Amino acid sequence: MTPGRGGAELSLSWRLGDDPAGTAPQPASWPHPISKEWAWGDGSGAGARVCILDSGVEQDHPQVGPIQGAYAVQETQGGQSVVTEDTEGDVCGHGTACASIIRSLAPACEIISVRVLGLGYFGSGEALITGLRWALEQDFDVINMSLSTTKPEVARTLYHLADVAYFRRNLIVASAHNTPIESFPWRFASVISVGSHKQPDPELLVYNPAPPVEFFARGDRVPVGWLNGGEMVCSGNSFATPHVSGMCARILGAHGGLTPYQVKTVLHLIAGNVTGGT
Amino acid sequence: MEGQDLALLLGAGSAENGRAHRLLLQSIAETTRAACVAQACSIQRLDIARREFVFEAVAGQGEDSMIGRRYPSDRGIAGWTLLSRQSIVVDDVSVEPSFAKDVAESTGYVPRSIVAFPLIKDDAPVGVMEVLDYELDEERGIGCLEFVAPFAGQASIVLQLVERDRTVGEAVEADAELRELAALTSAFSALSEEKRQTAVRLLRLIRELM
Repeated sequence: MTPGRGGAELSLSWRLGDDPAGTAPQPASWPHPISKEWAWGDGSGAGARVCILDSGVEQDHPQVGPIQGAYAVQETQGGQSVVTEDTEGDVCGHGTACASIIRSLAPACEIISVRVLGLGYFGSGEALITGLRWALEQDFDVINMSLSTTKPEVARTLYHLADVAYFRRNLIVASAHNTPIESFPWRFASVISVGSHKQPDPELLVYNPAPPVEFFARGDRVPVGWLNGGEMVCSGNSFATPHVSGMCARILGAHGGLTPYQVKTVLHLIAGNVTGGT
Repeated sequence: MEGQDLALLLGAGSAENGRAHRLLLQSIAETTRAACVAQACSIQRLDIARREFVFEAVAGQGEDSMIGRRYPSDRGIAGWTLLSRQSIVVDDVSVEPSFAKDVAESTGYVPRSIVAFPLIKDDAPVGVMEVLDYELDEERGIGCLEFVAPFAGQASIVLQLVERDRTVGEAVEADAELRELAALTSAFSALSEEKRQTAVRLLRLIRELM
């Protein structure tokens, strides 16, 4: 794994012209109107690097294919959590399901799995933080988080890391709750929060003018990959989220260097209820 | 032990409260099962110390044999649901042999579909509610989650009460002074009205002496 820009913190710029992150390519001109065809380019997601923070991903699953890295948050003997290379794969099936959805939308994107679920309930918040911090260090374009935490002490650190991700152009796509439970990071404005619509179209995105859930994607009866090369049909916001991650991979594959703010704007403009998905 | 728990312990009828909470939990499982036209509904408590789920209430399939059964809490759909705080519906689980086997081993019944809901109370994971083979044709998929959500909310509250009852019971079991107080309370509540008034006068005298 090639580390990105080093560390999981911001290099600050205080004046116009300061550019600690390096000059990222930007579109020479923005078309009007923004269409799906322009936004998604060839639709392959080639060049985009997507990290899945979940239960792991099964290697070489028929609906996922090879993935470009598999890691897991482990606990050292001293009680610290660290990220190490992983061979165990998926301990549940859910991470594989997310990977299969992302692959179906962005077949040429890179997928890197980080298992953050599996240390049990005492260590779950710390594992999430450790995994996300590591993902920021690797400078992934998209970080899929079909999960959340209800722990306030974890939320504070998550809030900071989500801000870092936003300014460093690491796009966090996070599942909203479908019940009134206060959880994070989907409530943060710096991430893209996702709920479910009931339409079977995997490319249909719906913008929500009444946040905090900002977008709805397919989350109802979604065919997904599961353990042992299997398939299942699942519903829930956690399956809507990788649809949006796949769309973001398409956008960033075609238009590398866009900021989360710009990607969110493009998503808004191609939403089915904004422009008719032109 | 917290003050409110001690107050509960010393309050007349605490054992009755405990029974009522367990009956209420069972009632929620039965109501959910009936409303969803499901084969089974279970409410499972998370035992953090042992990293296991424990079946606290079961309606339908397995209700005669599953109460008290345990299985590892950090694997499978239920484990993922609670760790991730995300609810999920899985259809056609029978097409995935290992998953069906996992569920069968943990519940004694192989379902076709499963709805799993994380039970959260005061920011803490307390358990999982599962509905097996629901038949709400018009509410399948994501609509089923919306339908089940209020029942899961009730289960979260009552499961916490059941857990508190258990904590109180274990504390009393482990503490000789609390056992003595509990025995005193129990004996006091069993007295006739006349003897109870006498006992109250005695207790007041003791308090003055203290």
